[in-house]
Amino acid sequence: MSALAATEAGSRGHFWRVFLIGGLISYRALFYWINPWQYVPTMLAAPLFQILFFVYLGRAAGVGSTAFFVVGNSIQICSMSGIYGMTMAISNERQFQTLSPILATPSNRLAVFLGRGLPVLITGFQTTCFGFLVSALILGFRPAPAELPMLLLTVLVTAGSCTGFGMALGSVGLRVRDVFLISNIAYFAVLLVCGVEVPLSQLPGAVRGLAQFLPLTHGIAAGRLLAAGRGGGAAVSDILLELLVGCCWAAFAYLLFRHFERSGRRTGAFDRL
Amino acid sequence: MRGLHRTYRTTVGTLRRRRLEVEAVRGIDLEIGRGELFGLLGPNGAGKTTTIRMLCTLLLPTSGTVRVLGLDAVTQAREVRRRIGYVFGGDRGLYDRLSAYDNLRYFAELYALDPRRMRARIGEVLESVGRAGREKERVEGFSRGMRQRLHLARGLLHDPPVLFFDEPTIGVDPVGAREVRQLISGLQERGKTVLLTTHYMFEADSLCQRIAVISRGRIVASGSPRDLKSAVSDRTVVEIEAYGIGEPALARMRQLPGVESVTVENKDQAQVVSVQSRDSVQLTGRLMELLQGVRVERIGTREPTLEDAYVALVTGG
Repeated sequence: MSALAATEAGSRGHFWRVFLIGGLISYRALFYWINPWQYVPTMLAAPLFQILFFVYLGRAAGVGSTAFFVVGNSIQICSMSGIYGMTMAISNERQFQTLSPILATPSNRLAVFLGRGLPVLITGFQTTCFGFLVSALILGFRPAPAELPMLLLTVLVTAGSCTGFGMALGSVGLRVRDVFLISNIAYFAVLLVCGVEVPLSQLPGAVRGLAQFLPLTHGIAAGRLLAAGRGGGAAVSDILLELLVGCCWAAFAYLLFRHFERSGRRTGAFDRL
Repeated sequence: MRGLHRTYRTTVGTLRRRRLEVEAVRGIDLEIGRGELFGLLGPNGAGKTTTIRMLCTLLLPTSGTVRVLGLDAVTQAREVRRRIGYVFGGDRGLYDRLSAYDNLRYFAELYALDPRRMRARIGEVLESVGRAGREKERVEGFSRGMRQRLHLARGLLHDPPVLFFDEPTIGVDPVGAREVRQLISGLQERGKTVLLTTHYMFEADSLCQRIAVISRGRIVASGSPRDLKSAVSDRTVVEIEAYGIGEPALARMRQLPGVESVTVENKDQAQVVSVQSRDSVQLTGRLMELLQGVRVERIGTREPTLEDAYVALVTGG
């Protein structure tokens, strides 16, 4: 073994270092929009205009309340980070041809994989908090102060489930060349399917069924309950469902990643761009 | 490596998709001793990179066995990965938006380096590849040679006992390439086992104790550089530097009696044609007859080099 490796590559200490430090370094390496010139227009300005657009559209059409659109859109914008950020954080390894050097290391794959999610989750959380803050300042959105901690927890869980969903898309990007086309479709599909702009009750049954397995659906439902002052107890089941959906997507994404790693060794797929 | 085979399956065509099988490696048997600096030579597509990727655990053999330090590269991949360094050529494979230091820091974490020694070790490897003092600069501004040195630094980071270099001097300027060769030579002096693939014959000749020539997925010759040169020692090479030799003239050269092979290298505007033969005395005159009307700058005979041996081996000349 290498003379310099002090910690066993499979040890718990190594896991946390790769998860936290490695995750942060890879985020800085692969998240395109980290530069303020890209971060501000992409992660703050564009989502803000999305919120304003739908709130004013709702007001002009006389449908839905301001809170309905503010909660739906503010929570949905965390998927910008989850979906695109994770697609970048995983599939761009292939574009930079850094996947082979990583796979040639003895590192813990779970730590490498999950570590990329944490900064993306935090970015998504920040984006939604920004959406709520600006909505409070511009649109008069005022949830009850007692509901704020649970609302923040809902946002955190939903940002996490979007990250898990994005991880699956990123893993697909290890095999599919133009995965950002799929990410684009996914981003706009959740806008329609997950009850962001249209109440789930008004969507066809099949779409409602599909929405149960997607991130955002339960988080947005919980957020709306909390914004309406229905109390944390009413939102707990939706928050737990959102957490479950996120964990399932993250687990599926990791299995997909390991499957592609194994099949890549078998077929030589990682050699081809 | 014993009986190593690797077949790639691919498809061609859009509407009528047809399956193709490409045999990249067709039965390689090779043993490299501990502390040896071994060269793998071969033309593009010969199977060098495929072989190295199987040794690095990145690719599974279709059949045969690959062992590194006695460990099976298929079933004990993680153990093998702890003990090897992999350096490949070219300017990709690095995180452009990160500094040289952060690129190495990331891999130092992945190789589970002692956190207390990490900074010092990164400094050491950067120093050894001549990149000390520029570690805070972003890689996107690096020249190809600088990137290549960073690849080297990454391969050395965890001080592995076995190193695989896949064309490490490709695209590096002559001074930089010489420094890379000195570094590789120094590794062997420190007891490291090194497998090097290269296109440059002089590089293999000056560095490697033993060389294997691979062509179309098979080892066609192996031995010391001297052994390989001796395979063509009964030949002489007529070298012609000229302008505007056409393909018909080259074809006629190949048909001259006693000619084993004809290779052409473009050097600026000129062509350097090397003609291997067992009879150089009469050949020079015949060649001059063929080259009437062509501007010939220089014609002469020389002893065969390792490159001539290589050409003879891969062309079957």
